[in-house]
Amino acid sequence: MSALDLLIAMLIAISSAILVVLATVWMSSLIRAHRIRIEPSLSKARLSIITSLSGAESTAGDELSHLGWFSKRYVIGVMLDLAPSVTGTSRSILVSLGETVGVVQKAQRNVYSRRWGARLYAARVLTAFGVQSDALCRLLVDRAPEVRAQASAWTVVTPNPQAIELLVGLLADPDGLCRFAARDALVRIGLRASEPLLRALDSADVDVTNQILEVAAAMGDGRFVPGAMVCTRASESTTRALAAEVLASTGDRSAGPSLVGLLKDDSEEVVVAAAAGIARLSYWPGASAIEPLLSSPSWALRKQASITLLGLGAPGTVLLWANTRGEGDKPEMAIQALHLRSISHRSEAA
Amino acid sequence: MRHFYSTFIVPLNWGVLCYFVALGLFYLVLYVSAALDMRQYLREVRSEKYREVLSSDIAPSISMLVPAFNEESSVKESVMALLTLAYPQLEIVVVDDGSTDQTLSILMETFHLLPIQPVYDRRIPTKPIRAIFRSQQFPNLIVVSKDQGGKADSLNTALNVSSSELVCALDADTILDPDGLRRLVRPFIRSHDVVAAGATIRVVNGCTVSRGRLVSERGPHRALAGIQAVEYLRAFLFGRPGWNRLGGNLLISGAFGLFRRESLLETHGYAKSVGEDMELVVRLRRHGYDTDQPARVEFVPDPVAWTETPVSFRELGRQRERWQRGFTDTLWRHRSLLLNPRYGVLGLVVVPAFVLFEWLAPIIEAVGLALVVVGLVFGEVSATFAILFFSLACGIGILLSMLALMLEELSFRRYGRARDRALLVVWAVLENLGFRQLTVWWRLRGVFSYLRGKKSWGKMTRKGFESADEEGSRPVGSEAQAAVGIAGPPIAVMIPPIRIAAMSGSMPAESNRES
Repeated sequence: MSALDLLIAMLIAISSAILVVLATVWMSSLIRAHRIRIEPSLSKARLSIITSLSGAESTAGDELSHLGWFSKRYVIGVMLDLAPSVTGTSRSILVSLGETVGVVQKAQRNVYSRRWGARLYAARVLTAFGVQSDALCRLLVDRAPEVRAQASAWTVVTPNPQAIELLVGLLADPDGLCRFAARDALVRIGLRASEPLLRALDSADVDVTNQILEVAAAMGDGRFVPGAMVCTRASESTTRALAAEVLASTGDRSAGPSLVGLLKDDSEEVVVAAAAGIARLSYWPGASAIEPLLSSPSWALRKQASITLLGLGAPGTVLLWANTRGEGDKPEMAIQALHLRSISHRSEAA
Repeated sequence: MRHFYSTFIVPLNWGVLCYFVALGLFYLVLYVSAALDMRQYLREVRSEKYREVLSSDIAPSISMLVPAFNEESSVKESVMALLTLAYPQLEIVVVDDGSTDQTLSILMETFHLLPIQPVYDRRIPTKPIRAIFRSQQFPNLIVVSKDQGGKADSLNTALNVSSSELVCALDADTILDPDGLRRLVRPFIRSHDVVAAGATIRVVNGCTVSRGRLVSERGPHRALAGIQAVEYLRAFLFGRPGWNRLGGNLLISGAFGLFRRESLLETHGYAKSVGEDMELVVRLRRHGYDTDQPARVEFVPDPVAWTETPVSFRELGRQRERWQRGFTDTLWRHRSLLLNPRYGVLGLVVVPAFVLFEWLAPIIEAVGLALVVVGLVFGEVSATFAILFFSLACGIGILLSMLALMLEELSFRRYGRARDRALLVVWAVLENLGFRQLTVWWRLRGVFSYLRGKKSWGKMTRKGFESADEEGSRPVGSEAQAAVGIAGPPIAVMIPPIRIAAMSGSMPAESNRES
C-alpha cells in the first residue's frame, strides 16, 4: 500500500467517524425535540397534580389520565420535582399517587439492583417521597459511596434507631462525601442522635471523635458536656479545640472554668477555641485570664483575645481600654478592637 | 539539493508524521477518559437537588474574590448577581483596584457601604488599602478600596481580607450559574486533598443577559464568536474532564475557580504574571509534592460561568498571544518539574504532555507547513498528496470538535435551539479552514514575544453585558489559556499572511499595571 492509499483510507475512516458522530447528535436532537413537544402536556399534568396536592377537588384518576400519556421517566421527573416542596397531607397524596403509578414500587425494587447508578437513583426517589423502608439500612452499608451518602439523607426523612447507629458508623467512612452526608444528617436529626453519638464517643478513635465533637458542637446538647470534658485532656490538639467548642455550644456557664483552664494549653488552636468559647458563653470572669493573650507573639491569639474581650461587654471593654497604652503589638490590637466597637455603634445609629 | 532533501527533510517529515500520530492517540485517550469521567459524574448528580448542601450548617464557607478595575459599566449588575447566588455561607469581597472611573462611588451608592476596620492578617504583602467597607443592606458584602497594583495584587488583598475556608476567584464581568457554587464545592467535601476545583467556561456572546443574570442561552451567530464557542466546548468538555483521570488538571480558569484559602496563603497567593491562573495551579500542585501533602486539582464540568469573547481578529490575536506567553512563562518557571520523578504523575505525565502536545504544537505545525512547501518546491510531494494530507488534518480537527459537540448533546444540552446546534456544527467545520492556522500564528508570536521578554497584558476594552451584543469587543484575559487543553492536530498548511498589529504600548490599563 502506497502512502497515498494510506492517506485515502485514513480519510475515509475519519469521514465515516464524523458521519457517525453527526448521526448521534442528530438522534439526540430528535429526542430533545420530542421532549420540547410534550412539554405543554407535561405542564398540564404538573399543574393538575399541584391542584390535587393543594387539596382542591380532584381525583387521582384525573392526574393519572394526564400522566398516562407519558413514559415512566417523565412521570418520575414530574413527581421528583414536586416531592421536596410538599409535606404532611400533600406529601401523603403524592406518595399514594406515586404508588398508583408504580414509581415507588419501581424504586423499591431498584434498591436491590446490581448497578450502583440504579440504586442511587432509587434512593433519591425514596428520599424525595419520604418512604419508610427496610432497605434503608442496607443502603447505609452499600459498597458505592454515593449510595451511602444518599442513604444518609434518606435517614433524615425516616429516622430509626438502627439507621442512626449505622449513620454514626459512617463517620468513620473512608469517603469524604459519606462522612459529610453522615455529619449533616446527624445534625439534622438532632437530639434523637445524641445517645448513639455519646455511646460512640466512648470508644471512637481520634478521627471519629473529632467528627462526633463537630456534630455535637452544631447540636448544642448539654448531654455532651461530660464527654467533652474528658476530651479536653485528649492528646490531639484538634480534639481539645473541638471539645472547647462543644462546651461553649451548650450555653452552660458552668463550663466556663474549664475553658479558662484551656487558655493555658500549649496549642494555639486550642487556646483560640477556648477564648472564642468564653466569648460565646459570655463568661466575664474569664476576662482577666484573656487579657495576657493580648501580648502574645501570635497574631491569631491576639486577634481572638481582643474579639473575646469585646464580646464580654463592660468588663472586657475596660480591659481593652487599659491596654491601649504601652509598647509592642498589644495596644494596636486593643485599639483595633475598640474601633470595631465604635463602628458597630455608628452602624446601629445609622 | 536533492541529497539535502533526502538527508534532512525526509527524516524531519517522518518526525512530524510521528508527532501527528502520537497527538491523535493522545487525544483519543483524553476523549475516552473524559467520556468515562462524564458518565460517572452524570450518574452521581442525576436528579440531585443539592438541597442538603444549601441548607447545611456544616457546608464549607466560601468567599468570592472579585477584583474590579474601571468596571463602572458592569460592576453593579455583577455584584447584584453574586448576591443572589445560592449558597449558605457566602461572603463577597470586591476589591476596587484604584479605579479612575466611578466604580467605587457606584458601589457605595448602590449597596449603602459603611467604612469598617476589620481585624485581619496581612499574610501576603499587597499595595496599601485605602478603606474597607461593608454593605448595610447585605452584611456579607465587603468592598476594599486600594492603591492600584494589578489583578494579582487585588486578588491577594481580597485573600487577606476574606475569612472563609474556600475562596472563589471571579472576574467582575463573569456571570455564574445560580447554583454553580453548590456544584463546585462537591470535590472539597469529598476529599481534604483537593486544593482547587475548576468549572466550565462558556461563551456568552449571543445569549441574553439581564441584571447580571443569563436570561436565555443561545449560541453565537457570528463566525468568530461561534468558532470560539466550539473551542471552549472542546477544551472544557473533553480536555479538562479527561485530565481528571490522567493525573489531574494543570489549569483552572481565572474567570471561575474555587480554592482552599489556606493552601493559597501557604503558597503566597497570586503571582504577578501574564498567565497567573495557570501558574497558581502549577505552584499549588508543586507545593503539595514539596511538603508531602497531597494537592489534587479537580475539574467539575457542570457548574458554568459565562464570559464574553473577543469578536475582532485583532483582539483575539492579542488574547491568544497573551495566553501562549503566560503558558510559556509558567512552563519556564516550573521547568524543574519536567520528567522529575520526585513530582510523580505531575512531573512524569502531566507536564511532559502539556509541553509536548500543547506548547510544541504550534511550532511543529509551522514546521509541517514549511516541509510541505519545501516538498512541493522540490517536487518530492505531489499536489494530490498535499491536498489529501490537508483534508485528513482538517478531518481530524473536525472529528475532535464533533466529539465535543456530541458530549455536550449527550450531557448538559445547554443550547436549546436546533438552529444554535446546527450553527455549532458549521463553526466546527469552519474552524479548521483558516482559523486554526491563524491561531498557530498567534501562538508562535506569543512564544517569540515571551523570548523577547514582553510581559504586558495589552489592551483591555470593556463593555457592560447589558450593552454588549455580538459586536461588542473585549479581550478576556483572565480565563487565560481557556482553550489550552485541546489545541487540535498539527496541520501543515499555509498560514494566511495576516499581519497582526503589534501590541500597542499606549495601552494603559493592564499593561501599566504589570510594568
